[in-house]
Formats: sequence, C-alpha cells, structure tokens
Amino acid sequence: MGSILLFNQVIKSYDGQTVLHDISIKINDGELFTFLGPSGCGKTTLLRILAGFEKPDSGTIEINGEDITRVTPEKRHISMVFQHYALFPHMTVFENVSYGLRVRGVAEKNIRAKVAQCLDMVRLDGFAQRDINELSGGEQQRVAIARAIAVDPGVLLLDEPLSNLDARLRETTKMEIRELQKSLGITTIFVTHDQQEAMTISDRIAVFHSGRIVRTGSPQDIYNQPQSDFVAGFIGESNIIEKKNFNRFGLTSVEAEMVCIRPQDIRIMEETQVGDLGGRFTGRIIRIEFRGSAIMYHVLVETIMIKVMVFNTGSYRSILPGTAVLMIVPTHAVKMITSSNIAREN
Amino acid sequence: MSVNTLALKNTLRVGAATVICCMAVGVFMAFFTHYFKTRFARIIHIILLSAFVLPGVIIVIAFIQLYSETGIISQFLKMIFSLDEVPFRFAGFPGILFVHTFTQYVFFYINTTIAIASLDYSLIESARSFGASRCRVFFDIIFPHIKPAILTSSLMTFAIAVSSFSAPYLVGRGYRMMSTQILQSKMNNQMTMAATQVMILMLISMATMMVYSYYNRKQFRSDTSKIKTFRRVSIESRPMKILIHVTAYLILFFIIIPVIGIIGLSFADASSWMLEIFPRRFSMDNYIKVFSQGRIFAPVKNSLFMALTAAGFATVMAVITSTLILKYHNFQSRLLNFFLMLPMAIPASTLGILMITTFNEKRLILFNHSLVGTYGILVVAYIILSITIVSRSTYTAFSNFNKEHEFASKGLGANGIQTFYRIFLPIVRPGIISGFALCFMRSLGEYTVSALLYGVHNRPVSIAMVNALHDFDAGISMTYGVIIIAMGVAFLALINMKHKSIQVQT
Repeated sequence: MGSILLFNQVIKSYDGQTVLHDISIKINDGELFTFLGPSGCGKTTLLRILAGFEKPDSGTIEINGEDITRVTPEKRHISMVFQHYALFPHMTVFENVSYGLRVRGVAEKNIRAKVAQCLDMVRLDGFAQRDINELSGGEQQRVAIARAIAVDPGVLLLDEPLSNLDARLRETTKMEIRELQKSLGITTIFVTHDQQEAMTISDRIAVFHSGRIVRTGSPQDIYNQPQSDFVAGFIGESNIIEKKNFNRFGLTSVEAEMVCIRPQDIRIMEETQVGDLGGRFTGRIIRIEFRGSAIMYHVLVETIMIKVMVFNTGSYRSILPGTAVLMIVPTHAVKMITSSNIAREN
Repeated sequence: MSVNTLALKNTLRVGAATVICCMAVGVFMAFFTHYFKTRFARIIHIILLSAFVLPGVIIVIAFIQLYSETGIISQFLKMIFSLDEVPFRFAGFPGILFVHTFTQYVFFYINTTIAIASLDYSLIESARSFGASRCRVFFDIIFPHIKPAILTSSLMTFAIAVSSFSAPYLVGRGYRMMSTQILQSKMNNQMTMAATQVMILMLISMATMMVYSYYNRKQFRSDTSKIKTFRRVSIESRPMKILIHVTAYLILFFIIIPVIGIIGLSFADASSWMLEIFPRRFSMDNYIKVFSQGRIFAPVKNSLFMALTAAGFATVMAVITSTLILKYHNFQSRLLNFFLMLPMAIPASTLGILMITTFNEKRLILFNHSLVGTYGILVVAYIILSITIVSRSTYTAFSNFNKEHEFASKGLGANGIQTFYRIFLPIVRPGIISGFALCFMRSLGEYTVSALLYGVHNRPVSIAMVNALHDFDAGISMTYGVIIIAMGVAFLALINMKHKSIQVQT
C-alpha cells in the first residue's frame, strides 16, 4: 500500500522570494515522515507541492520512480487531511467519507462496506448519518482521516492535523494516528511545528528553517546530535555555549566553536554539599520553573543564563532562588555544534 | 424660491429626517431583539426583516388605507373620541416621513444586529471587572463597536430616502421632491428639465454612495481572532422593562398593521366598504376575480414573468462577473466591479428617465430597434436595478468558498467538473439563491421605474395595484398585495435556508 517518495532539488518562489531552496529528500515505503519547523519555514508549501496544489519552479517529485511533478492532483493518488479538516459542510459524515469512492465510480455496495470499515477504524461507527456541523472538533478530525484513508491512497498527507484539538485530545489522537498508519502501512507525511509531537510520532524527521532542510534523521539522532544551533534550540531545550565562554563552564579541553548541553544533563547541587566531583562551574539560581515531573532552574553563570533540568522524583527537595550552586557536566553530554543557522550579534 | 430649489430642499429635508427616525426605530429594535433578554425575540426578528422583501408600494397603499382621511384607523379614532375631523393629516412631509420610518428602518436594524452579534463579550466582562458601570460599558465598549454600522446605515438610508418615489407620489399630496418632479417634467414632456433633475438627484445619491462605500470597507475590516459570543443582557429595573417592551410592541404594531390590513381588506367587499367606514362583508370574491378574469390576472402574470426573467438574467450575470472578478485581480476586474456597484447609486426614477432618453431611438446595439414601449424594457430596468445586490450576494458566497474544499475534492480524485458540481455549486448555492430571490422580490413589486416605463402589454402588478385603488377597487388592489406578500414570505423562507443549511467552516 505504501510508496517511495523522492523530492529532487525542488525550488519554489513567490514574488521573487524563494520559500523553498533546493529540497531533496527520499521518503521510504510505509514510513511516517515529519516536516518540522516554525511557521513560514516552507513545510506546508512543500506538502502542497507534493499534493499538486502548487507547482515547483524547478525540481521533480517522484512516487515509486514515476515523475508526478506535472500530474494533476486528482491523478496523484495522494490523500490529504487539512489543518481545518476541509470537510464538505453540505454533506453528512457518510457522504464525506464516501466522496472519493463515489467520484472514482466504485459500486454502491462496496462504498457502504468501505465507509463502514473506515468509520470503524477511526472509532466513529454510528456517526454515518450525522451532519458535519453536529460533530466536535475531535470527531471532525476523525472524519477527515476516514475520508482520506477510504480511497486507499499511496501517500497520506497530514497538515498540522492536531493543531485544533485540546491538549488531552491531541495526546490520544496522536497515538491513534500512529497506530492507524502502522496498521495500514501508508507512507505518511506529517507536518507540524510542535517538536514534541514530531518526536513522538515520527519514524524520521526533516527539520525546516527558512525554506531549507537543516537536519534529517530519526528523532533520537536529531535530539542527540542536533549538529546545528537552530536544531539544538528547536528540538528540545538546550544551552548553547560559544567557544569564548568555554572556560566559564570548565570546558577548556573541548575543540569546537560551539557546544550544546541539554538542561537535564547538568547535575546541580548546593555549593555547601560539594565534595570532590571533578569538572565543575558555579552560578546562582535566578528563577525556578515547576513543570510537574521536572524542575527547570534558570541559573546565572557570571553573565550567561543557562537552564538546568532536574527530574522531580517526589522526594527531591527544590533549591531556593538566590542559592549559589555548583553544576557538573559529564563529558559525554557535551554536543559539538558544527554549523550555525542563526545570525549572532557577537 | 423656484419649484426645483424647493424640491431639492424638501428632498434633503426628507432624507435627513428619515435617517433620524429610522435610526431611532432600527437601532432600538436591534437592541430589543439582540441585546436585551426579551421574549419572542426570534419571531419579532423575522417580522422586522420582512420589510426587506416587501415592496414599498404595497406598504404605502396599506398605510393609505389605514391612516388617510378615509382610512380605517383615522376614522376609528375620530369615532371613539367623537372628533369633528380625523386626528392627524396623513399627507405631506409627516406622511412621507411616517411611511419612510416604518419601511426603511431595516438597514439600521440589520447592520446594528450584525454589530451586536459580533461584539466580543469578553470586552464587556473585562470592562466590568475594572469597575465600569453598565452605562459606562455602553458608551465605552458597545457604542464605539456599533458606530460604524450606524454610520453606514445612515448613508444607505439617506440615499434611499432622497430617491424615494412611491411615498412622495402617493402620500405627498403636492409635497415636492426631486423624484416626483422628474415624473412631472416627463409628463409635461420637458425632457431637458427632467434630465437636469435626474443629474442633480444622481449626484446626491452617488456622493452618498461613495461615502458609504468608503465607510463600509472600514466597517467590515473584521478581526479574525476568536471572540466570546455576546450574551443578552437582562433588564433589571421593572419600570424600564415595561417602558422598553411597550415601545417595542408599539413599533412592531406600526410595522405589522399594514400587512394585516392588506390581508384583511383583500377579503372585504369593496362596494359595501365604500358606503361605510369599516368593511362589513368579507368573501373570497376578490381572489376569485383575480384568478378567474384574464384581464385582472394579466398584471400578476406579467410581473411574475418579468421578475423571473430579470432574476434569471441578473443571476447568470452575477455568477459570471463574480467568477471573473475573483479570478483576475487587474484593472479590468476592478472596472467591472465598479460598473456592478454603479446602479446602486442611481435612483429608480433617474434610471427610468435615463432609459427613456437612451432607448427611445433605434440603436445599433439593439439591432436597429427602440426599446421604449417594448415588453422587455422593464426586464432590462429590473436587471439594472437589482444587479448590484445580486452580484454582491453571489460575490460574497464565492469569496467565502474555502479553497481547501476544492483541494480536498481534487485530492480525493475528483476532476474539475466533478468538483464544480458536487462541491463548489452546493456550497455557494445559498448565496446564488439569495441573490435570485432578492432580485425577484424587488422586481415583482417594483413601482417607480415601472410607472415611467410600463406599457399596455407589460403592465405590472404594482401599477395595477395603484390603478385599482384609483378606480375605487381597493379589494382587488389589496388582493394583488397579498399575492406579492405570499410570494415574499415564500422567498424569505428560501433565503432563511441559507443560514440553516450551511455553516461555513473556518
């Protein structure tokens, strides 16, 4: 059921401004691949080019080796779930889900069976005759998914499908989408600006920045080896330390222009508790952010503010703001930054 | 003071006074149905909207039957108070103003209700949390929000009042206004004078409409952020509650009574009614006459045919032009848009004169024929009169169409034609039907331009209504009115479907 997708040097401009620079990616059969990036980075434009709603200025797109760059949307065999679902307001749930089958001329008996099967998959059996306007946001989203999968697409596109749901529903729906995608084996592209969402759901992620893909890899690879300061800052939380400040953090032996240290990799303790623990640096707690399962300390190290995360185990006793603290960074936790995507002032 | 100067002065006076009175009625009723917690608000809302589709001439005639010297209400008051003469004179400036107030309040009413409905309730809660009193909230939050709606309604009402014809002509009794002066000049065959008067009236209307267009753009620059739906306010003071309800029901009485009057009098035996103050005998005779005698039914048939044809053509034109305007964002599309807006600034009487002067000779564009005196001239006039409103309705529906629905359809395998018929057309259909229905209703009861352009073969029902009244056949006149109202109610229900069937997804 899946397809192999290939973007080959895709470029797109609007009014002389390039929004996609030379994009090349290969997406494997049955993979859930995420386009991740902040608003305006070009991820949705690339998705729309793949769907056929936009034409690239140059470059090609192939599905299973066939060039579909100039193929009209209806002939691409790609289904899309839109951010605002785009359910047809004049149709019932059944009519929406059956629409794609009907325009393909599928027999009525087969349509009924397929719609029932798809509604069952998204746990909406019994909703077939409901009007779209009677459904909640979560139910509408499920109808949109059912409609998309009903036509057995080669590629499924999900354009920020969780953005209109509340936090709790987002969590459950995210896992349901993942399970559905795995069971159907459809090659799926998921667009989001939420790095947490991307990390949880994806097989692989492409991180977009200003119309370019700055990092591609599995969630673990990207998180553990962000390679650029933009990725390090966008995926999870991090402290980026420049070479000129290395000595303040006891990083004198590190050979890099910049390093990234994740807040949870830093051990923190009150200065009075310190024994002989090796490489260390000191600072003063300015602010505490309580996050339930974790506590984030904002610590001032001379003139640089860094973040330190400590897991809240219940028995953990929080350190008070204003306390002088000592911090230790294990050598393995220091990640080298090899490129910079962010213009720095100094 | 010359006759024309007097007519110009009177026209402006009527325009300004109409705006003030309509503002009082329209804004008050909008608050009554949409701001305060009141009973029967939904039904009252529908009744108040009916003025939008009921042709003005019918209401004017009904008012004459009720409030003129021989009118039922005037005579009733005279009788119960044992007066020597009727207590008021339903003619001249007050008469015109009375008719205008209870027929033209609708722009204030509609725009203010829309403004109230779009008011973000969290703004009110926020002001209240800072300690603002209800009065302060009204002047600091509510009034600034509805002010643009009031301003645009004022301009719209002014433009309509200055070009009004049926009220000054039928109720004015010699009160000179520009619109009636134009007819006078035409009847005296002073076409140059008529053309000059036309130009003056058109300049007033166009200037007003230009200001309207400017403020209307400002008014509808809406904020797309999520707002908290407005919640109606309860009136806590009992005397205030009584005062507000009594005032509202009194206004409602003046709005409903002509319609009830028309329906009731359509069953009255005209011969008995002429001899007595109140009709005593009621029967179906008037209806039997209208539907059984070809000559009497002919105006209904004419109007139906002409209104349907005009609405059909106007709708097709609106669909084509809306598609072109939305597809091409260039000078030509803006010019097309301007031409579609232009008829709104041309008063009906002006249009009538312009059509006579333009089409009274053989023209190449008409295959060397003259249009004046033909059956089709009224159809053309009706199309011009309604094209703005039809194209606005269609354009709004087309521009509100969510492009993602088209993308979703194509993504699911539908081609362009399938997407057009299965998705685009059903979604925009209510807007097209609304436009068609409004054009149909306006054309069905149109009086002003019909009075200037009708002939023996295409005498419309509005003219037949007035003629029947002049022939002392008020029963037939009222029956014509009921037929038009019945069609109006049917079409109002059709338009209402627009709001029920589609809630466009955001």
